[in-house]
Amino acid sequence: MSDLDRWIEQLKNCEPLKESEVKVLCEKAMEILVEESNVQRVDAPVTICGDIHGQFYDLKELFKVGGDCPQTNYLFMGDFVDRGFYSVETFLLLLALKVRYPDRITLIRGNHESRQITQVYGFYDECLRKYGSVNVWRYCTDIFDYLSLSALIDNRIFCVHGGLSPTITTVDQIRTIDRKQEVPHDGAMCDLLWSDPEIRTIDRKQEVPHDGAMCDLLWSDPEDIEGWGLSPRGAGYLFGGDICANFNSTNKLELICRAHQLVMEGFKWMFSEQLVTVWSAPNYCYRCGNVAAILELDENLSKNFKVFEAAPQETRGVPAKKAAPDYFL
Amino acid sequence: MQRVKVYRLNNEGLWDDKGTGHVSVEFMEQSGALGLVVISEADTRTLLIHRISKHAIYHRQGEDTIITWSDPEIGTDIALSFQEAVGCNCIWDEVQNVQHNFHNRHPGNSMENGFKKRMVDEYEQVSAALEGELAEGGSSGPVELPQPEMDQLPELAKILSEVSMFQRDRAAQQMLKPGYVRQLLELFRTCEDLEDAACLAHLYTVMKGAIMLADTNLLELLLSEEHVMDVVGALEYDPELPEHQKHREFLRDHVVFKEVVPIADQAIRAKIHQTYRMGYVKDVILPRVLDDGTFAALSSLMLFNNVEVLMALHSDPRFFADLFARVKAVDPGEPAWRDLVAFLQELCGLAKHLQAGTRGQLLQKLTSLGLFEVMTGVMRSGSDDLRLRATDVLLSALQHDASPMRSFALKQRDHELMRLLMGALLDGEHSGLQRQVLEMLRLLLHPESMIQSAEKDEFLQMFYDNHITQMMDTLTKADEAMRAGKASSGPQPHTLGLIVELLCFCVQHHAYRIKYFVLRNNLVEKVLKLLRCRERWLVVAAVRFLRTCIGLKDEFYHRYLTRNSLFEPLVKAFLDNGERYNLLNSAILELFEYILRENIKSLVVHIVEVFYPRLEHVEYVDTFRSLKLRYEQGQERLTSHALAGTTATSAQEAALMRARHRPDERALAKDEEDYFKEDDDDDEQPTAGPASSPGPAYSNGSTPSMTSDSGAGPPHGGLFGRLVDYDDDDEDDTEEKGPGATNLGGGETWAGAAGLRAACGRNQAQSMATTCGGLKRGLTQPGSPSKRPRLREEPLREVAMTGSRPSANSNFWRRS
Repeated sequence: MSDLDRWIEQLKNCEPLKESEVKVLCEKAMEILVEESNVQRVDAPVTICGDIHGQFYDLKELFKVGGDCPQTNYLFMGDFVDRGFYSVETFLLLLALKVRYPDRITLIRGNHESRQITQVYGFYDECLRKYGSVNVWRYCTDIFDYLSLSALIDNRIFCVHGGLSPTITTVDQIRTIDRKQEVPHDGAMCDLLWSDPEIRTIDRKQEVPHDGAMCDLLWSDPEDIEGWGLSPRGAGYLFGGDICANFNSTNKLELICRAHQLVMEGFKWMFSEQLVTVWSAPNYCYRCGNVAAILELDENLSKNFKVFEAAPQETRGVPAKKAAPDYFL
Repeated sequence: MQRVKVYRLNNEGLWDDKGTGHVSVEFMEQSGALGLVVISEADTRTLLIHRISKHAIYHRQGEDTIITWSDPEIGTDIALSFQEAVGCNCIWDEVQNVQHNFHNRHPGNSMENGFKKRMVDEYEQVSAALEGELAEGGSSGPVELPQPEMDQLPELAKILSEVSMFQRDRAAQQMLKPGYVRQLLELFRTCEDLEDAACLAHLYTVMKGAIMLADTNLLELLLSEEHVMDVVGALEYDPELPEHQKHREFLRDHVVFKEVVPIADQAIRAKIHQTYRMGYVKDVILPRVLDDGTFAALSSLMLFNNVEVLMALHSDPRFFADLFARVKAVDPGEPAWRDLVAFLQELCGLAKHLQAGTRGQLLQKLTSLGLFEVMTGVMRSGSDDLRLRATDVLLSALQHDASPMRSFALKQRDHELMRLLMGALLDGEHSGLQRQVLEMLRLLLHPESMIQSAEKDEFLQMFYDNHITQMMDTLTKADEAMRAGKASSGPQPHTLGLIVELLCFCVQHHAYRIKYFVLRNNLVEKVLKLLRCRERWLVVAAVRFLRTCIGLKDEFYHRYLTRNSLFEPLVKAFLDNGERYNLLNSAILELFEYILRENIKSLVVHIVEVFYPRLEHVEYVDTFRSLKLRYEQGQERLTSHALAGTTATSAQEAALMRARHRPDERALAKDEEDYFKEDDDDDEQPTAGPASSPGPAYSNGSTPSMTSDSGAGPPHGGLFGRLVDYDDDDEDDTEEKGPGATNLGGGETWAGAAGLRAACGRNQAQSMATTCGGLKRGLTQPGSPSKRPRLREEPLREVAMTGSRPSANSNFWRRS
């Protein structure tokens, strides 16, 4: 059994690798990822997954529902780390599978695959706690810079973590981004990872004025607000149905598939089925009470959502976090 | 400091005296806001921390000696009774000022802006809604806890697990009644003796519920020395877990409190133990169930404990002297040495939570006791693990203030620490250590943090005289190994990657020294040798170095690159890669797109004239067609202006230009200068440019005087001559201070460069603000990792400084 297979077995049991092994794994992964495109081409059939967020036992549940890799061809749309208790094991397992079966699993970058964000939302602390130094965090965040930004399935379905960017009208324009960098605060690369689709409807509860524009608005049907909007997240944009439709027709796409937003039912259609959000972290943060979903595409791109719940308590390992065995202060 | 008594309104409507201390208005780094802080005069405990809120209403009472307000974080009214009216006035004015500033801060203010710009992740988007639901769903009616007796346990468990946000405070008050907790814990012992599983499950729920009330006083009580083991014991009986947890056994038998220097004060030792246990409850026992409020309450308690412990050690006159005496008495390699270094690491990590002033004092104390000597020793003879810890300690010191370590490194014999750091960077097999060292070098070499120009001069001089060459030698070694077909026997690819990263940093931040170095050693060519190496990620790193040079938009680099034909290896690497759409392809296309987008004319001309025939077949992107088009527009413009026969250059400016050039290259340079004079703005109007021709010597791409082999000897003439024309005074004023410094090459892009630098400053500020704003738990983030960017005002100041630079720059122009 090769080292790699052994590591995969070990990681499947939620046992982290040694620091030196992480280093070797990351070096191998880097060689593979550097050859990938900003828009990575993927052939159907493929199973598309959304955010995982370090919920290792729920990822195992996902594999139970969707089938093991490499039997099933997978596309993960980012946000592997942060929030959950097992970001290290989760990311390393996915990365090890990537190195072992590069053509059977595609990983693209989410907004949490970033040095800044992981220092706030848990991955940094987890690495420090599990390894006693930040080395593993550095190895992993270096790898993040090499992850592809999006994927294109059979030229028909565009997959990205967040959404669209006002500076990107064609899929080809993504080619000229040098993605090997920390996720910037603005620009195309940032938007792809941070944007959200948005339907805003007019609030009917407002007091009704007697005439004027407000009155017209109130009595017309609620409808999508079109164009680009400011994102409350502070990065990326909100984009309306018209933007999505234009992008799809310009690029001859039938669907945009993205993750990035918690949807309680695991998936959510928007804009007359031109866009779908897939979310794969059940009971997010161990307390949101949502179910998760994955999207299976067969060779004809027929869609089948599989919904699943959080792994039952007894299948979860007990030690959530390990404490340092000694302390000075 | 004003002397005050702190009062807190209790449930009976009476004012409880919480102690006497000194109050001040402080900037609280963790929450990034100003607050009132009262430190007890009896034992330096923190009696009160109150973030001044723009909504809170503060009242004056008594004979102008009392300030009161209703404190939402503490959940009741607070009063400060001042000893003197003068003190009260003073604090009152400060509070008013802070509130006033909240209201007047206009949207353009970078700090406010930064916080607005913070990034919010998906969880925060929904959690607000969740909290709302929780608040609506819960009852706000009165809550009565039954007595802690066996038959009441189910009822008590039920109440505590259903208690609403509004009832928490009241429930906590009832649990705080004298004897209640003790009685509950006695009940737990009885149940455990009886092995009554049902009751123990209820007790788990009760204890979990009690902690989730998130009441500071109750948490302190539950986690006190007296009660903590029983509380943890009750928490072992989580009915949802398949097996009984052995937390007490771990805490009692497996955890070791390592006291490297005896701490005499029992209270402080108790604090240290309590803090560890709080962390254990937070991170190990209950992480799955804690909500944000409780997590924050526990974190802030730990933070305050840590600060108290550090303050106590800091004010102990003997502690640190003792510590360093021990460090120096122990031989490297002994286990005690490891513990002492680990202690310092933990100490410096925690020191980040101190207020800047205190942290500075503490670090100064450590420095004066020989911190840097000790760490040099560790770097010299420590194991990999210890050296990693030492870099952590040094990074903590550097992140606070890099100057002390700079001056230490300068004065040290043989610059040992610098040599050790460079050694660790260059021949380290231990890549984690290398990364840490890279981080340190960046902080040490960052010109923004060098306030005194003497320090800057000396330190950079030392680096450029003694150390940067080592990096270049490593590159050369790699090249030799590659040429001999034995790349694997050469330096590690990882090391080469780090070198390129640090060189990028130097190009971005050091103006004339790195230019001189680049020119004298033909550094770009050496880096570009990596384009031939097997590791594709390293090839991409070399492209990035070239891109960094171009990104300065400094005509100096453009000329250097074209004259040395340094686009040749790039184009070759690009063509060799074929149409493969990989990171290399994207990175090189981005570089060409950048030149196109920024309309860097000299490079457009060079690339089109020299390489277009080889690139024109690349049609899967518009990049090269667009470059050609841009080139042709430029040519048209030149022609039309030749006819008009005028230039837009003022006579004075032209004279200035000429004065700066040596005669032998003046003619050529003048042409170039004129050509680039009017940049960017007139892109759409090809007829608005100055007239002159780029000339053939310029476009053929190479100058004999600057071949790669000129090595250490000063190359004659050319750009080099111009570089050394300046006297030192000028450089003192302009080096590293801004775009002026990037103009020694004589380009007209300084305004553009200023914009770029200003933009960089802004981005940095923004990124800092974003990170900090993103510290969701605000004040209560004691788990703050050691390398986390700190919330400081510096980045904002950087912006301000950048904004003011062009005037310094124009000064520079006059003087030269």
